[in-house]
Amino acid sequence: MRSLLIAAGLALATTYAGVARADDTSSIEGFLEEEVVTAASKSSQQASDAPALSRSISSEEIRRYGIRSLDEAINFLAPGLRTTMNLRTPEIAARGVQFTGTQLYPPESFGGVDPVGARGVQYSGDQGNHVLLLIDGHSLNEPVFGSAQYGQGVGIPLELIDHIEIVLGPGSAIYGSNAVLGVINVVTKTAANPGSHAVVEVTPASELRTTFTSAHSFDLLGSKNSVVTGLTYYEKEGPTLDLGPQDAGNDPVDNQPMKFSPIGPRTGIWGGEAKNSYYTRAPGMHLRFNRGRFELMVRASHLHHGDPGSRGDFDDARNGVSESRASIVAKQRFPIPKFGEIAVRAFADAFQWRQDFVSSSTIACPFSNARVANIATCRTYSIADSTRLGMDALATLDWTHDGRFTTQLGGSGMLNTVVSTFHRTDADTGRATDPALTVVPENTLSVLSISGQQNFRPWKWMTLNAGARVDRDERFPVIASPRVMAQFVPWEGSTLKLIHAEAFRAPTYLETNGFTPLIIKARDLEPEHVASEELVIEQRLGAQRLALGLFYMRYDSIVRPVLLTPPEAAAAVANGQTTFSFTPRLELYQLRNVDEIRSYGYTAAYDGSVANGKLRFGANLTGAVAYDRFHAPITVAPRLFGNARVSYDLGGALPTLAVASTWASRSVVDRAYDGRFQPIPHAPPQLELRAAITGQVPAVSGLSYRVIANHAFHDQTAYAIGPVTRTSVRMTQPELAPIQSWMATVGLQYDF
Amino acid sequence: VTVHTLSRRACLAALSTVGLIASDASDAFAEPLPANLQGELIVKLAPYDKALPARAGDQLVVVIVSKPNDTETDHWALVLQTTLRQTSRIAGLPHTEIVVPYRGAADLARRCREQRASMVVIPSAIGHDVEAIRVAFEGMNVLTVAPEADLVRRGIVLGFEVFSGKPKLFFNLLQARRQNVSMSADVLKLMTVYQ
Repeated sequence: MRSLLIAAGLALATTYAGVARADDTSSIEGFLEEEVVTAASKSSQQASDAPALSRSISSEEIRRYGIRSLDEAINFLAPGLRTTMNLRTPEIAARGVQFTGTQLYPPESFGGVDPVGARGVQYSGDQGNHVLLLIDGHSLNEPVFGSAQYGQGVGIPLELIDHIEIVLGPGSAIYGSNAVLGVINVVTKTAANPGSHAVVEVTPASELRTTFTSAHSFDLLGSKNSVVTGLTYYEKEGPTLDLGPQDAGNDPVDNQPMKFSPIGPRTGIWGGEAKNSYYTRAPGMHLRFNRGRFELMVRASHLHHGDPGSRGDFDDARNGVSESRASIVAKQRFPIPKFGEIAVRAFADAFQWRQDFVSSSTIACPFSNARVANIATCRTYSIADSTRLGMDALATLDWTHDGRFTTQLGGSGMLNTVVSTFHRTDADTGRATDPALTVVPENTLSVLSISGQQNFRPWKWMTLNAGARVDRDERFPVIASPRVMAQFVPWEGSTLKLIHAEAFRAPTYLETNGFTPLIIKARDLEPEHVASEELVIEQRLGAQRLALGLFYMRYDSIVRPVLLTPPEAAAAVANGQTTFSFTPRLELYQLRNVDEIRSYGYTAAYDGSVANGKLRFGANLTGAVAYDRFHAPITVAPRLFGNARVSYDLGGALPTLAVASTWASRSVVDRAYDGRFQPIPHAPPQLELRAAITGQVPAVSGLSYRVIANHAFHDQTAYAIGPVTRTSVRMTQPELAPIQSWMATVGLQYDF
Repeated sequence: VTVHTLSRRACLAALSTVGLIASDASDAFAEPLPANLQGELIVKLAPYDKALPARAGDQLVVVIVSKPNDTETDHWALVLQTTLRQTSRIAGLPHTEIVVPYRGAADLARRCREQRASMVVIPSAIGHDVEAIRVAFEGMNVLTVAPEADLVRRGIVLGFEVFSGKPKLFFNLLQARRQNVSMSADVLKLMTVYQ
């Protein structure tokens, strides 16, 4: 904490020094410090002109502050967003709101351990489906879950990232579904700086990250071409976690103690040393080919991770998730004489996902032949596949040839195909014990959209921007997402923006079309909707920039699982919507648009540098009040969070020193409400400090190093783990996912 | 959805898009600064060119070069011209902007002499000819500007480009001396200087 205060004090002191020094080049310095963003409106513009509060994280910052993944870049450098680790993958929240999941998986939903939580309802995390993640403008959110990866699973070599654009607030007026909390656009490097780079980073005894990136241009058939490639491989083994013990009590099926290992007696106790199940492997590749106005992008990634917090057999490495993603995107720009251009894209995406769950408890195979065959350990797995084929076109017209009156018109069409199945096998032999269950029948559905945006700057001190997108998803009525902005420049270097924006999240195919014996198929599900009002004030003074955004957001029609009333459950049984027989104690669920969230607060961001950019610093702070329809705080998302950083370039052959921190106030645990814990469990305040040293290795041309040390002052995050996720006489509070307190990483980069 | 189906769909998509590849190609791979911002930056930087008042005399003439039959460059030149014209004075001088089609380095140098140009803005699209332009402009009193760092490294005096999401400035000191351009040391500190 003291280091943090010193860093903040240093930043403040140098700020005032910098402001006082502001000389006659301050206007140019301000211009050079102003980020150029494209994600807010699909056209290049200065961040202060964008119709949203936006910020860009540069590759220099990523390297300087010891950032190793996208989620770390968000936590240590971005305003208004925060990710939290849940022992599997990071999940993302914005401005005090994090959506809890509605997914029908994990496979415990087919007969797990906990009476409520085991049914997959209110399971932590929305898998990032309320934030749109783009790589070079192409969406990574897939159709089955709407998910996107923010950890190493994103599969982009960190060294290939040129910058990351963060756009806060609704973005459906430009991008359609999923752009609810914000848009993140990862922009990769071009061949403007040709060369190859190999990187190896090691965190002793647990992590290895290695990347190879290359950018080259060549002449072919009379034109200049470029190829930018990147390969990455990440592996994490451990560290060993000390989990539990959790007393899960008796198995409801046979009333004997639960069993969390294929060997040994039935004790009902889960926990011990998790040595095998805390692992991640994530290879990825990215390729971009450019020839004039044509661009081809091919990318593929795979993620396989264990689940040490699984409610299945303890520390079984087979509990986990594998997912693969592949995309191919072709883009051609056609100039429109004198007025602008049309960009046409065609793309194809494929997504495959598998989740495994291994359990020796009787309840894991309660309704199947497995019990009859006396199988000791059941292995269930769920599979989801999707493909997406699409085309879109965007015309940008600059009528006055100076950006004062520009029009954008766009249209897109996509075909999404999804299918999902569930399987139960004997874990020892791999033989199926039951026929595969179709969770989402194979479906091919279309999504069409048209969009328009008008930018008008009648005077230098005022800009008006209005746009809307209309989406037609076969599953829902037509959805319109408008956005309006009025921007004023009261004096040089200052902007004031008033923004109204709306966005939606189309329920995933799993939500609209999926069903299990315990969760009956949803009917008339509608898109979730958000409307926001924002006031953004930005002030530049030389190399210093301050931004303050005030927001009020209304989220409606949020999809949640609802417990059916006994008459509804009886009707569902009678209609054949479940395989269960009706009993008064039968608990069936259905996804419905029942919830709403109101949130308001502020995001403040400050960036600056002095001494010709040698000393750099910045801080972001977000305060938000968010509550649901029961006026209860939102789980996991903290009310106050932010980050701060300072770095100094010693110059010449000497290294760059940097310190960064990220913090968050305490937050409600993900299973607090449906677990019926009393008092309401909270995760402790979170604080992480990171120090990084980067520099050139003396006497070896092209070789540079990076040394990172990280300390987390908290020991838990806001995610409940293990089988006890509901209060009982044996456990009145959940066990929270632990976090590694110390981490040191050493890396070498060779440029050639 | 089988792997076979996925592969077939991906191949079909790839094949259908290959047909979109056009033969006309610009030479730039760098992320350019939007043309209107290029204009704003030129206006901001011009006062720091210490030799500009002497070169320009009572009026600053800016030549904006366009590539014939290249609609993208035409648009860029038009935006730049319109943006510069919105400023009443550049470096305290009245100014005029002329768009000149590129017909070779020697022809461009001749046109600039005739027009008494003090500043020439070169598009990325004629980057392949930058060495010839460098030679043709040696000894002339003119500031050459380009929206790409690589062109500065190869012989244009001043350039800008977007790197890591922010505008960056580039300056070729040797070529500046050859073209009698003297930039203020205060601004040079903000630039990547090629010796």
